[in-house]
Amino acid sequence: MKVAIVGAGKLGLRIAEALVDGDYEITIIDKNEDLLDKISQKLDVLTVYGDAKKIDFLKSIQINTYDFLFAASDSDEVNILIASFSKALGCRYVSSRVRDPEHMKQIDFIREKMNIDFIVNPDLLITQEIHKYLAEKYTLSNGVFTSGKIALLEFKADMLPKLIGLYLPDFKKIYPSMLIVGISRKGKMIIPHGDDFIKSGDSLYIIGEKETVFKLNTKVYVNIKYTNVQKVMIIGGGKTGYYLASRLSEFGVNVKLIEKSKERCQYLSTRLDDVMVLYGDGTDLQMLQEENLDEMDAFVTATGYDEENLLLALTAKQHGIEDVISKVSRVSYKDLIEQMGIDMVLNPLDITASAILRNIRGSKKVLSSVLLQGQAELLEIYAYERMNMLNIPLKNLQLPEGIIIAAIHRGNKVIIPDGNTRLLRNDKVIIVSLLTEIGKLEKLFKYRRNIL
Amino acid sequence: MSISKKRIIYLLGALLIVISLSMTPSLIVSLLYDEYHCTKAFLITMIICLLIGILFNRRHTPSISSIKLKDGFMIVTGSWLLASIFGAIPFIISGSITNPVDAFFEACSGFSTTGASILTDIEALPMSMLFWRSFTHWLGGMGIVVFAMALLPKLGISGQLIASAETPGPTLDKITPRFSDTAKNLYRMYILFTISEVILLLIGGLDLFDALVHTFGTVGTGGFSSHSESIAYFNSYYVHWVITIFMIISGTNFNLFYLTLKRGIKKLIKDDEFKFYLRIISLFTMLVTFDLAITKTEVNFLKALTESIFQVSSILTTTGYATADFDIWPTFAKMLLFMLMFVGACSSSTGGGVKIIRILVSFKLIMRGFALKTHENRIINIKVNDQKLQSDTVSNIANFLFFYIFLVFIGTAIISINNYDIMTSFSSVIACLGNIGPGFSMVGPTMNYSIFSNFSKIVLSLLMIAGRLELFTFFILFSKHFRDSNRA
Amino acid sequence: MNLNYNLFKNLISLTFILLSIIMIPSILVAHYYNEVNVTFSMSIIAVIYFFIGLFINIKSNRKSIKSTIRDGYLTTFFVWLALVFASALPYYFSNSGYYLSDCIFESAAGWSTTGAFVIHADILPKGLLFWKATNNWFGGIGMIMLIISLTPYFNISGQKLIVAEAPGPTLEKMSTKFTGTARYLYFFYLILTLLEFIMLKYGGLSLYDAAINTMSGISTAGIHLNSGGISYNLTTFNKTVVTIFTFLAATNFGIYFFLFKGKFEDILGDLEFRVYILLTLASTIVIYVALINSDEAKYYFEDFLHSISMAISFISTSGYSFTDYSIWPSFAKVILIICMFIGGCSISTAGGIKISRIIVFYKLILRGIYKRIHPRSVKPVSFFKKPISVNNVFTIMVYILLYFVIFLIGSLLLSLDNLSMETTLSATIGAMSNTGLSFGELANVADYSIFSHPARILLSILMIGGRLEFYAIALLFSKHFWNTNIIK
Repeated sequence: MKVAIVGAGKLGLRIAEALVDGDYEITIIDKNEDLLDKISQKLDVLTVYGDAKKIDFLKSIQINTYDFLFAASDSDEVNILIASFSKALGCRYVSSRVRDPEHMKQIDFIREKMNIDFIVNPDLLITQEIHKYLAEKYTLSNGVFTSGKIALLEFKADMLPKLIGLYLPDFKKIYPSMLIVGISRKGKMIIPHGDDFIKSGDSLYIIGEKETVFKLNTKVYVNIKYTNVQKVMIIGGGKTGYYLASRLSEFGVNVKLIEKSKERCQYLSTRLDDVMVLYGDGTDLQMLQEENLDEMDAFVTATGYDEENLLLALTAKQHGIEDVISKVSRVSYKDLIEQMGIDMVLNPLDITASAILRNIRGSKKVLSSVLLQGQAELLEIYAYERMNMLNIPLKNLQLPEGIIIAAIHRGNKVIIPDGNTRLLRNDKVIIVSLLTEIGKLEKLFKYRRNIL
Repeated sequence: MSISKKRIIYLLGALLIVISLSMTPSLIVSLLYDEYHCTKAFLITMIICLLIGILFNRRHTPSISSIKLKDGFMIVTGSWLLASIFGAIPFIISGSITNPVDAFFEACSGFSTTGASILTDIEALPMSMLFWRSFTHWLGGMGIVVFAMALLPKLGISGQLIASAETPGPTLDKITPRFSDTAKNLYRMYILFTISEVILLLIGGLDLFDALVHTFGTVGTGGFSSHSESIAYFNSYYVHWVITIFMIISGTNFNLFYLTLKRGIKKLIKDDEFKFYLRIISLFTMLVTFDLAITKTEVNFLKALTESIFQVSSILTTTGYATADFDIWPTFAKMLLFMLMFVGACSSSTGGGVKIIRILVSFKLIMRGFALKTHENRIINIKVNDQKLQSDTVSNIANFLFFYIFLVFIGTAIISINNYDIMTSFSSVIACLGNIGPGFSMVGPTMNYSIFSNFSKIVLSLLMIAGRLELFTFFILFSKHFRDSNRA
Repeated sequence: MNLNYNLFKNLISLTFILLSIIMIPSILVAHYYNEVNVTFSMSIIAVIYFFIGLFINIKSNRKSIKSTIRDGYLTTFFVWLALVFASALPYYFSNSGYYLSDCIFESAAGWSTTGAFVIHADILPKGLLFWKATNNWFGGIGMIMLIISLTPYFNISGQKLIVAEAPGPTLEKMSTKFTGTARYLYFFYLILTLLEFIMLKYGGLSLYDAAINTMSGISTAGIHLNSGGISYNLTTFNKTVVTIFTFLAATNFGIYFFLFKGKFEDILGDLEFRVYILLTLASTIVIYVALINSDEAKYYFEDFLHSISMAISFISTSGYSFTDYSIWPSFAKVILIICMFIGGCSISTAGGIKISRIIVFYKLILRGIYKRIHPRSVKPVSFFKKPISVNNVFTIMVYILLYFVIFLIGSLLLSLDNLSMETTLSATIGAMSNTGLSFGELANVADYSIFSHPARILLSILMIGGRLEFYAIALLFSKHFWNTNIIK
């Protein structure tokens, strides 16, 4: 499959990185030669220097032979143009990144008339995740997700004290028909393997046959009192902040949005009716306290700077706020984050990349998917005949750390795999993967080459 | 109980202790004049205040050093209300003022330095009561809270936030780096002026009691007198002029005095607000004198000048002393005084009203409006003392004016329920909101506020406090945003 | 002084021509009532005006009628000045011995739709009274508006011209071409006029009476029929008609546009309209309660009729009265005064500050409180969900401040006549808001002859100023206006 990515920025690169191990021919287009040089040395991709919004250029790279184009340049309008042109010139599937809230209001029209198949808005995606996190934490959802005969349950390990301290194999002994596919520890999602054990304070994601899971659910289900998230403070009035504030206030939450630029404040205040827009610096602790920092139910840091986000989140945590959520794009901070105890750290790139990949892979392959805590994805894929991962015992597959085969729908049966299980053709495989590792999934899906 | 409430109670407790102690001079006076029923009244009140104050203080020690703005508002408003309530008790116990509402009114009028009185016969009151009444002016003048600023930092609580709620007017200068220093300096000056005026009045032939009482009324820009005829009782040009001068001084921005000491007289003379202040006094005095002379209301030119500058200063600084019944003056002169009632004294003075700086900025705003009408795209800044004002400040000033106008109208409507003529209702509200004291018609300088119903008296008392606290501090407490400060 | 002379000439010529034409009905009336002097003098004046207009028109250039806002103000001012003087001459030359100042007053009262007089309605020849009513009618929406609606070639510059004359702050475009908007306004105006005329005629008034009352009623001027000034003699039916049509006249004409286009939801959705209804109802109820409480004999129904008619009379700034309200309780009077200040809807014939501005005024106060609680918050002022631009907010702020400043200064100047404070203040607001009827000595009868002749001229200026919403007049006092090149 030929994939073209316009824009070698953070997002463009992230997508490329994710796809590079798979069965794809990737072309990256950008107007910055130096950048392209560096990339071509790091990744196995074709780099082309050019202006993708020029029709001549698109024709020259034979865009009509491409299966997928993703426009991720700096400008929304240019992205729309590029995608639209490409589609008209014969590219099979086009998508573009659009961030501006003004465009979001007319998104359907744009999509339809400009003939763009998929529009991705990273800020909106993050907002959805944050909202889901906050809302679900406090609502009466019973925490069960089902697909076919399989169900996924999320609950706090402390609900079943006997689980604390158990290693994974031990867990399997007690619950043979269930598998722990994810542990959320101190805000970080871990895909557990044999040497992991359950600690107090962990949130567990367990997959298994529907009936068994439901039975477990009745034991651990907490009738959380319907205490709504009522007060949220958001630092950073950028697009993420804007979307989140907008979303939350629609649900009746009292939102305080803090933004550094006066002009931006005025822009925000005219568009967000029910949100208190405050002009100030998030690092101004006195102001935060004046505005009842201690009384907040949740605190979200969504400024443009990772460092600031982390620091602010820490401060909030110190003031004893229940839920602190931070937006961090740099992967290198991963370890630091775990120690900080922030409740949830979201990487917009990961989330966006997973959305794009879902699209690229197409619905034939991926039957359904859902994000877990914004950091991992659960996919159900159809095992095609020539895929690499077929007919090999799982323990020999050498799955990367962050990926786990959670369950298999084979015909009418549900199989909870162990090391010896093999994936067969026509299986519907349920995989749980960290967002950071989704690129590696491509290896599994690769078709075996008929070299022999 | 939440931390905020604990802090508030603690501070209010401290306040009560202060009030209790502040009754000591009056207590002494009562002993000097053998008014034992008053002594008893003061003692009882002092003990009650002390007890409650200590009670509040003991149980709730503040643990966190910072005070939120929200709490600041509650503390300030609470202080004034408490002071007025407890300050009224001596009147009631001693039997000088039997109606508690009346006593509350008088105390409010005292602490807010208004000077409106419900007494129909001032001289009938015991001397110590008259002393207490006037002393509340002195206390209220510099603000009990500002007084506390000097103490509070010792307790590790930042006073600035509280004072920002109370300090009259927009603050354009902060003189010393530490707020408590500023407060102490202002207080020193206050005492200096007090002593000076007392001495000068003594020279003018007043006895010590009258000198003190009227000094309190002047320096605090209050207006209570120990005589029914107010200053007219003292038939001396000297006394009238001394008081006039001190009224003008008390209506000046005290920060300017401090700056004068440190950096010379230039700071004072060049201050935009001060210049405007003096210009208004000159202009209006001239006009009134002219009117009085032409209409032969006063005997001779010097008398006309004396009366007019006295009345003009008195009303402008919102003191409220009178040397003539200006209600019988020709309409032109009355109208001039009426206009002054809307202006008020300088900011950071003991006076009340809208404040000169706001009037100044409003004029500049109007002028700017004109300039913009002819040149739509110009950017024009409003400057005061060569500093450009932020648009937020200008907005705040306009908002204040609007709120003031709004309150005047609503207040008039409410007071008019008592069915007195329009001028009475109208001027009573203005006189109370602006902390002036006397109004026109039935609340003119020779009249009193006893004519109103209890309900109206309470409304007027609250308006007095609201005016003293620059409106917002008081009314904020009623806002739904105050109760739920997380609401958008 | 750089003025767009061409524009001016065009406009003034048409004004004179139009003026001469609208004199015709009055001439006919005078002739019918055998008022020889009036008939004769007005006829000659009409002819002279016609030829003056024609002459200037011929000498002016049809092309290049571009204008700036400044031109708009200046031209409007001069046109209105000319109108007032020109319309005063019929009175002067009618050989009745009227002073010129009085004639100017009557003319000003006419054009500004203030129902005030210095020459009693029953002494005035019927022809001249009809002339005054004619002035009322055309002054309601405006002469310039009329000219623009009639002639096509002012187009976009028309908008700039209107800014000065338009009866209200924002003139939402009802159609793409400005001429269209002006035409719509007159269209609705005519319909309302005809309707009221028919109803009054049906109600039993003579042709003459119906005409006068309609013309002055629909322009919210408020003429009185008989010398007592109080229109007691109308039947209840007629009183109801007058009340209803006054209410309609003070409604935002944009509402009629919605009605016309069938957009019914927009009608109730209009914030100003809702507030208008609310205020009217609230005033009525409050006044009613006050009346009921004060009456010994309870005339429930009559009191209700009087409450509602007086509330509408004052809020629309029409100024008619069906009862002796000078004996009403103070509270009711204060409510009426507040109504006078508030005024009617924008884009109507009413006066006052206008409800849309008062809404912003109120919101600014609320915002002021909000900002004290959350000093860092950024919050726009919104008019029914749509935020108002900062510039517009400032314009409205300045206007309201200006209004009160002029109120005080106007009162000051009037007070030279040495009438009571209440009368003086009432006169000022009565003139400024174009109500006419007021309080003090101006209750029940809008007889301004109690003022001296110079005062009458001042009142004329205030009336016209109020009609033109002050900027046009006040701008003349700004040196920026005369010389657009001055920087400071």
